Amino acid sequence: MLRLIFWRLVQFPLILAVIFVVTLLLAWVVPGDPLSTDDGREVKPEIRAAMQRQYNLDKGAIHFGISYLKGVVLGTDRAWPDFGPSLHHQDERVSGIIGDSLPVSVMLGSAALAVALFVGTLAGVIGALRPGGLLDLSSLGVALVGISLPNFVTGSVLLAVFAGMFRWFPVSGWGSPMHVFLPAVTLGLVPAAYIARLVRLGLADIMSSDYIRTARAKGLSRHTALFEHALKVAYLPVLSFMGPAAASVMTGSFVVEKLFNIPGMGDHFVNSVINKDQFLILGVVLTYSTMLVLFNLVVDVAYAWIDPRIELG
Amino acid sequence: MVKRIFGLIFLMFAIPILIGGFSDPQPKADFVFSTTTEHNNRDPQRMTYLHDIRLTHALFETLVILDFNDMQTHPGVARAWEISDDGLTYTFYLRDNARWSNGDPVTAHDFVYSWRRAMLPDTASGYGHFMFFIKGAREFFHWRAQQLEQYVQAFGEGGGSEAAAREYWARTEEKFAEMVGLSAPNERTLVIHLNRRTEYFLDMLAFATFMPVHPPSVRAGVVFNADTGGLMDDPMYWTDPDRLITNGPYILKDRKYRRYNYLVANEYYWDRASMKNNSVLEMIVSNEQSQLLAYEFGDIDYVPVVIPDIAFDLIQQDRNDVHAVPMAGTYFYNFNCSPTLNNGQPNALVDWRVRRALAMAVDRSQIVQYVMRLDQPPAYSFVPPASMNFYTPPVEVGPRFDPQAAKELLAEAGYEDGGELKGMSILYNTNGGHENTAQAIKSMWEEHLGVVVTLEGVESKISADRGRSLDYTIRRAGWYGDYADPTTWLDIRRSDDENNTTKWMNSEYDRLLDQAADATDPDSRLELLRQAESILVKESPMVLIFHPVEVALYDPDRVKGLGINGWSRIRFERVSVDKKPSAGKGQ
Repeated sequence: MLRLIFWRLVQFPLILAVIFVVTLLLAWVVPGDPLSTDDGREVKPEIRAAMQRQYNLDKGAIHFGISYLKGVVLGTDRAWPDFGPSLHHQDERVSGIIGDSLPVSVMLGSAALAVALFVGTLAGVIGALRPGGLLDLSSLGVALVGISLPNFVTGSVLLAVFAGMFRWFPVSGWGSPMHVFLPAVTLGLVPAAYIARLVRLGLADIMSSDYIRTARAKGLSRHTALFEHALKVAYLPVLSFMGPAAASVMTGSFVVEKLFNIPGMGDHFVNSVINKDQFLILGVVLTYSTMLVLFNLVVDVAYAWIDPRIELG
Repeated sequence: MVKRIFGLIFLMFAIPILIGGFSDPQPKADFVFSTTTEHNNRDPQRMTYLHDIRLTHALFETLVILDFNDMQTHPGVARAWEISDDGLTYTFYLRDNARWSNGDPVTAHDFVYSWRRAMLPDTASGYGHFMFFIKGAREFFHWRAQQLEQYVQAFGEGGGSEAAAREYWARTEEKFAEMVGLSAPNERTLVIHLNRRTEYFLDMLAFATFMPVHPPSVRAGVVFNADTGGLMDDPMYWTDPDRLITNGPYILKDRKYRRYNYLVANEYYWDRASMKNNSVLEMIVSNEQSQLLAYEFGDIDYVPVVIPDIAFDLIQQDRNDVHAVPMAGTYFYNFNCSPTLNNGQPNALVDWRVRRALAMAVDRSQIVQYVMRLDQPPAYSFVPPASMNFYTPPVEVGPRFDPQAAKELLAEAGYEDGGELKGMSILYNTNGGHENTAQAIKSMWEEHLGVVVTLEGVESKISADRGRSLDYTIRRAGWYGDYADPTTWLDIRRSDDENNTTKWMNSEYDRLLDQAADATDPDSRLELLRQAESILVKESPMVLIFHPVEVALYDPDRVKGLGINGWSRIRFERVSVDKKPSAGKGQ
């Protein structure tokens, strides 16, 4: 177990370095000038040159990349890690932007995951209790709808009904637990549907396997067989799904954030590229990759926690 | 097993509670307005975006204040001023009671410091060229830029030091005093020498670039860059709400990234007694529908701009809180006027008759009625006629919709058949709903002239890049005025202006603008500007399409003193809001 964690942590900087180089090159060759304004105002050429020098954009990608990495790894007296200034939001450091938006996304993401786990597990188990029954079919139907419907449809419907019609929840914004509920449900429904299917399929498989049949023949109740023995095994695919799902849900969703007006990370994935904000692009990509790698590690550890028989490493 | 799964779910719920404790409501304020994007900058010398400039006028006060409702300049930090007979020397006398929000007096030296900041290439001020009206400012800018070049050459990569950069800076300070016609003989007197008579200089002084900043707090964030030798001015440091010292009606009490900016009255503001409110909240609502809902629920008092689709629906409802404001701006298509295109082919658009024929084949009334749908005034001049009450642009010269005459003019230019005019393409930016207008104009040119054009939608940064490198034939553009004078538009079509991305060059036009600049009589100056604009409009280096209209929301019975105008400036301190929701709200 410790060996696994150790090796993963050794690979970690290598993975990040590769991602950094690829992202830097992509961000560099994307056409468009990061220093031009959206309203099409031109600055004097000499001022443009001064801006490029100030942001270290005048000496090519390699020079930029090295000085950027220096700031990230060693930090500066203003921040650690220092991802540099944002080219578009010139009053911000990228570290500050990420520091403000990441907690919002993590908060929303973990609430969404809780929704997903709860709803998904419940629906999956209900389905597996009476395979082919009415409950099974309806939970399958709900799962299908959950996977097929895009976020902005579910979100808009939830908004219109629970915020617009009933006024149970605020329309948009951030700052209180009430603000979290609707977006968390919207964001959690898709993974919930996946989890429901994984649990349902896994349970159905295992319930018809030999060792469960033997256990049942020996007099174990269906209930005990399902919850004490089958669910444990059926839950493993859910856990492997949880790693990437957690990383993607916790680093924000552009659509849900836009719809509910939430100041999270999702916006940066789209707008940093549109704005050609190289510092921010690299900052969010590095943050996302770090989280992705870390969550996968957590999942492997959770494997062992849920089922101690599993040996890792 | 089940316990462990529920343990996992519980853990997921616990994370948010652990992170935030999570109750972070937004503050309440006397006046609440909204915007859809987070600000780009709070540094007056570096800002270029309209939404930044609008908010900054609440935080910093200039020497004089330009009221866009009566187009008059009023005393700001300066209580009085004198202008010499030749119009070259301005002497400002500052108020004794003008103070920074920490109690320090606002002095003439603060203005010298702030304007010098805007003149330095180190600051890379987007509007730094506004300083070039001041005697010696342009030369000083170039001197410093050259000095920094020398620094890099002398020390090479990594060879410099902070001490060396400081030494260079000491020489820069001496040079500034020697070269630039800007001085503070005492704490309360500021003397400015101009290069040439500039009739609208007072108006320009009301622009954000000329705002003072608090030198001690800005200096605290300045470091010397050993690599470049320049001053590294860290705007992220001193514009933080905890450190931001202002001299305007408000201080920035608090802000949350992409959520709000919260302003409360500056107790040291000299005119504190006549302020009509004590706090202003700017809510950042990126979703247009949510913004509208929040307004309808009474959470927002004033929405400065709603997107055209929503605006159109609101206007149909005939409500008294929907206000269509004609903007001091122009929406147009640039023609590439250089003799050859970037691919080496000769450019047909170099002939003004071809350009004018294309401009005459655009039915502007169709566009404003059926495409833009807000009844925008069609544009027949570059300067919007409604923007300034003292100038009448030459709209009679502007190309009117006349397909027959357009065909004839095109034939005269050698294109009997419009189909022979090949390679035309409209380049537009995809954000901002420009596609429909481009489609409409494309079909008008095909229908009326037989000219086939292609459409190219790209992101705005790419469009800007291609505009600068003249990698286009026809390109969508727009221009909003910065200060109340026709030159804020006309100057950008001078042959050598960096914003002249059409490469239309006309020496007579440049000469008339120069002559106007030197004119001593205001009326003859405006007449010269009018003559220059006539040349511009006749030769059509661009298709002038319409003057934009923005739709704002506020209830005139509740929100008083807003004085909305086409220049996007509000005097927040004059707004009073009756918080009682009026009958019929939110239905």
